[in-house]
Amino acid sequence: MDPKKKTVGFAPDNDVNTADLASPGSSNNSSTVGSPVSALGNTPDIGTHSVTFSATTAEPRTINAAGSRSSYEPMKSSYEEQWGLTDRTSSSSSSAGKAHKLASPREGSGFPNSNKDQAAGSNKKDTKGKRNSASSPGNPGTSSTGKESGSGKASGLCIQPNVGASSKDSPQSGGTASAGSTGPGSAGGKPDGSQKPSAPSQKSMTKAERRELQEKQKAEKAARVSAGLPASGKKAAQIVSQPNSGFSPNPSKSLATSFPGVEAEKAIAAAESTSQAKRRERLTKEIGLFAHLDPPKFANTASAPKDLHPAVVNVGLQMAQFKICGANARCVATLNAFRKAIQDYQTPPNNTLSRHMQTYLNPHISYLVTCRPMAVSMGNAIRYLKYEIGKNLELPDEDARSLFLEKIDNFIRDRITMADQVITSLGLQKIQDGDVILTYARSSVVEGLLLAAHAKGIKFKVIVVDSRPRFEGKQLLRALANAGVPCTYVLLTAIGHVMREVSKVILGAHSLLSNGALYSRAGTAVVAMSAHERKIPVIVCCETYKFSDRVQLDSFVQNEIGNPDELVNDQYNNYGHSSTRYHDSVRGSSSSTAAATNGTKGSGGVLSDWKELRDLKLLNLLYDLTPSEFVTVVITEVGLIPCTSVPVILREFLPMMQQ
Amino acid sequence: MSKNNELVDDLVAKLKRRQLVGSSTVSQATLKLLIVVISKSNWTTCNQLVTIVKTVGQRLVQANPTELAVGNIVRRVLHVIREEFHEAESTISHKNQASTSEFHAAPLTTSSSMYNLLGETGSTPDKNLQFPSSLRSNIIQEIREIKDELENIYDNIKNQASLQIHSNEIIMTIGRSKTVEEFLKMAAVKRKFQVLVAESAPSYSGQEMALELSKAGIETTVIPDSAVFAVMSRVNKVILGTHAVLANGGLVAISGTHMMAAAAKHHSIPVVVCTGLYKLSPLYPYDEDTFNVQFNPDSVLGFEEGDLIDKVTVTNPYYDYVSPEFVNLFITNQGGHPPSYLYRLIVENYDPNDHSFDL
Repeated sequence: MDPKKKTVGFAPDNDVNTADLASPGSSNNSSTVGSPVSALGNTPDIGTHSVTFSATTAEPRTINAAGSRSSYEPMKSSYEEQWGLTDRTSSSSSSAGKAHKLASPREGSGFPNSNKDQAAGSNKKDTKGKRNSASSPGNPGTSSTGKESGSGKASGLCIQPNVGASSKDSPQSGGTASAGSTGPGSAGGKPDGSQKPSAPSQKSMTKAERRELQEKQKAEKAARVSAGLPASGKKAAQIVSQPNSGFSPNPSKSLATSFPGVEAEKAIAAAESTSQAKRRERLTKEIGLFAHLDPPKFANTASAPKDLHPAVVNVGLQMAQFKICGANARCVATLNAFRKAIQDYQTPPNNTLSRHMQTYLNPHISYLVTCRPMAVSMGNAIRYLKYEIGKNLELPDEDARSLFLEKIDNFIRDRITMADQVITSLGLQKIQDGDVILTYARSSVVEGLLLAAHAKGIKFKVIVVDSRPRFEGKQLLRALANAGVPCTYVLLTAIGHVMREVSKVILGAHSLLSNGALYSRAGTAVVAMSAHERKIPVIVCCETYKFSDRVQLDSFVQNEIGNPDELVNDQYNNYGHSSTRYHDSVRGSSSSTAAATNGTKGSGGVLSDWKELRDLKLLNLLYDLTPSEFVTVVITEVGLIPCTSVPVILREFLPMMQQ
Repeated sequence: MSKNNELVDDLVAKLKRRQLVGSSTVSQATLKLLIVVISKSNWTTCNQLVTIVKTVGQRLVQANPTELAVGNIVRRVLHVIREEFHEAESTISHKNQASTSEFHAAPLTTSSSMYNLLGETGSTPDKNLQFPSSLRSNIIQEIREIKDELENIYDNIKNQASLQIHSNEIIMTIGRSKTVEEFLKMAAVKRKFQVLVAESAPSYSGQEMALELSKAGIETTVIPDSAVFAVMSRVNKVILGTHAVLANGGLVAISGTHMMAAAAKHHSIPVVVCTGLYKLSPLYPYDEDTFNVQFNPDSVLGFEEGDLIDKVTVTNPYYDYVSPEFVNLFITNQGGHPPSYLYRLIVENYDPNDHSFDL
C-alpha cells in the first residue's frame, strides 16, 4: 500500500465546515459530480467540474444515471478506499489541471488503471484486461474485443503516453472511451487506437514519468472509489459498461462472459487476487473483536441518493464529523431537518402526502445511517414519526403536513425539552451544599442540571473527568467555569486520585438498555466502577425517550468505532489540548498545521506511521456499557427509578410514546 | 572525603533536577555512588560505616522522596554491611572462644527469622574487635553482586515469561515499562498472543510501548484509557509494570493503573505485576498520596485554553496507588510471589533498623 495514501487521514481540506454546508457538494470537489447534491444545484460546482461538463455535455444524464445506480451499492467502503478517498482531495487538484478530461469521476471510473495492480507487478496481464474493459463498452460483451487485447504489451499500455507527456492537449483515450460508453449507444469517444503508435513501454519511461502516472492512477482510483465503484479499474469498467444490468454481484463471473479464453482467466485471477489482497489488508487493521462493527465512516455525499433534502444532507455531514454530537443534539437536529424536509415536500402526481411520506423519508434515514450509525435516541424519534405517518394515511395533504410538523415539534418539546426541565428539577433535590460532584465528558442534561443548581445558589464543587480523543468535557468545563462553578479538571487516568473527595457522581447517558445497562460515552463505565468501589452514589440523568428495548451484556456486540487516526494526535500534534481534531496547539503550531494538511506524516507523533507497522492497530471505541450494579439511580422525567426499571417504563410508556 | 562529597552532591543535584528518573537508572547510580563512598571513606567499625552510608542515603532520599528505589538500594547495601560485619565478628569470636561455647546457632539472617528464635540473638558488637583487612573488599564484593543482580534483572524476569503466558492470550497493559516490555517480547518468542496497551494520558507512554511491541512482531492494539473497561471482559491477563512496590504489596504505578486493576478485578481477570526486587520498599502507604507526585498540568489543560485556566483547578497526578488486593501475582527476579509473601522478601533483603535513615 502506498504510504502517502495511508497517512493522509483526515486531511482538513476534506473537512466540510459549516460555510461549505450551504452547498455540500462544493468541498467534496470532483467526487460529487453526478451525485445528488450537485445534481440539485449544479451551479456551485464550477472549478474543476466546469471543464468536465463542457467535455461531456453530450451525455450528462447518462452519467448521472450510472452514478445513481452505483450509489445504491452497499456502503462497504473499506478503510483503504477511504484513504484513497481522502487522498483524492490532494492529488486530484493537481491532476485536474494536467488532464482536463479527468475531472469527472464517472469518466475516470471507466479508466482502466489501478495503482495497486501496477505495484503488484502484474502489469502485462492487468493492463491487457483493462484495455479490454475500456474498449469493450462501446460493444459490450463481445468476445472480439477480448481477443484483440491479446495483441501485446504495447497496446496494453496504451494509456501511458499522455501521462508521460503530461501535456494538456493529449486527451486520455481510455477516459473518453469509457465516458462515452456510460451511455449505451453513445458515440464511444475517440478510438484508443489513435494513441497506440506513440505508446512507450513502461520500462522506457523515466522515473518522473512513472511517478506522474502513479499519481494520476491514484487520483483516478480515488475518483472511482468516491463514485461508489470498485477500486479496481477492471471492475469499474465492467460496471460502467453494463449500465442497464446494474451492479453485478459477482464481477469476476460476468468478466468471464466477456473475455473467454486464457486471457479472461488471467483477468479473473488478477481481479480475485487484488480483491483478496485488499481484503487482507483491510482485515489486518481491523480489531478482531470488533470485526463485526462497521468501520468508521467519513463525511461523503458522493454515495448519497440524489433527491435528499439539503437540510438532511447537512445534518448527516455534521454528524459524520461530530460537529453535532450527543444523543439529544443529534435527535433534535435530525427531527428539525426532517421537519424542513416535510415542509418543502411536494407530493408527486397520483400520490398523497401521507402515503408517499414514508417512501420519501426512507432514503433520508438510510443516508443518515451511512453518515454515522444511528443513535438510539434518533431511532426512537424516527420510529415515532413513522408511526404517526402510518396512523394518518387518510388525511388530506395539507392537514397531514401540518400534523406531522406539529408532532415533530411536540416530540421535541415533550420528550426532550420538557423532559430535561423535569430532570433538572428532580436532580436539584439531590445536590446539596458542600457536595463534590464528579461528572464524565459532557452531557447536555448534566450540564443543565449543574448550571441550574448553581443558579439556585447551591454551593458545590464539580470535578470534570475527561478523556481522549474528543475531550468533550472541556466544553462542559468552560460552561461551568464561565458560570462561576468551582471546577476541577482531570483526565480519566486520575480517577482513582480524585474519587476520594467526591460525594456524588452524575452521568449522562446515550441510552439505557432493557437489562438496566447504561450505554454511554466510552469511559463512563470506569467512572461508575470507581465510584461504586468507594460506595459513592452514581446518578444517571436520562430522558425516557432514550430507553431502548435492546439488551446487551458487553460493549462488543453493539458499539461504534471512531476514526483510529484521532488517537494519533499525541503530544507532538496537539498534546491532548484541543477539543477538536484540527486545532493547532501553541507549541509547534506550524508543524501540526502542515501535518493536518499533508496527513500526519512527519508530525513526529509516536504513532504517526502506525499504518506502516503490520502489527500495530488503534482502537477508538466510542461507547461502553456500564453494568446496572454500578448505577444507583436514574433520574428521568417520570421520576427517580432504579435502572433495572427500564423495561417497566418502556412497557408503561410505549403507548404514550406512540400516541 | 571531599571527593566523596562532590560525588554525592552531584547525584543529589541530578535527583533534585529530575535529570535522573526511573527506578532502574536511579538505583544503578545510587549503587555506583555507594561503592565509591564505602571504598574511599575511613571506617573501622560497623556503626561508623552504617552511619556514613545512612548519611549519604538520607541526602539522596530527600533529594527526591518519590524515587523509592534509591532508599531501597541504600537499605540493601546497609543490610550487606551489617551481614558482613556480623560474619566477621562471629568468625573472630569463634576463634577466640575456640571450643568453649557449647551451643552457637549459626546466624543465617540477622533478625526476626524463626531460625533465631531459639538461638542467641547475636551478641552486642565488641568495640575492641579488630576486623580483618579483607572486610572492606568483602563488602565491596557483596555490593557488586547487588550490581550484577540489577543488571540481570530483566533476564531473570523475562525468563519466566513462557511460564505465565499461554498461546492466543489477550493481554492488557498500561503505560511503558521496560520490564513488561522485555517480558512480553520474550514471551513472543515462544507464544503467539495479542496485547492491548492503554495510552495512559497525559503521558501517552502507552503509545511508545505499543510501538516497541509491534516492532517486535507482537500484535498490538492501542486503546484510549476510556476503553479499558469495555474491552476488559475479553482480556486474559493484565500485566503491569510499577514504579515501586510497598511493604503491604501495594503499588505505586503510573496513573491509570488503579483504574485498570479495578476493572480487572471486576471482571476477575488476574493482574500480574512484573518488577525487579529493587523496587520493593519496606515503607507503608499510610495515605494513598504519600508517594504520589503532581506533575505539570499543562499536558492536561494547556495554556492556550486562555482564561479558562484561571478559573479551574487542574491536577495531573503522575502515579496511582493500587492496593494489594488488586494484585494477584508479583513476578520478580527471584520468581513469582503472591502479595501476601512480600513481607518475607522485605525481611530477607532489608534490616529493620534501616527502614528509616534517621541516625
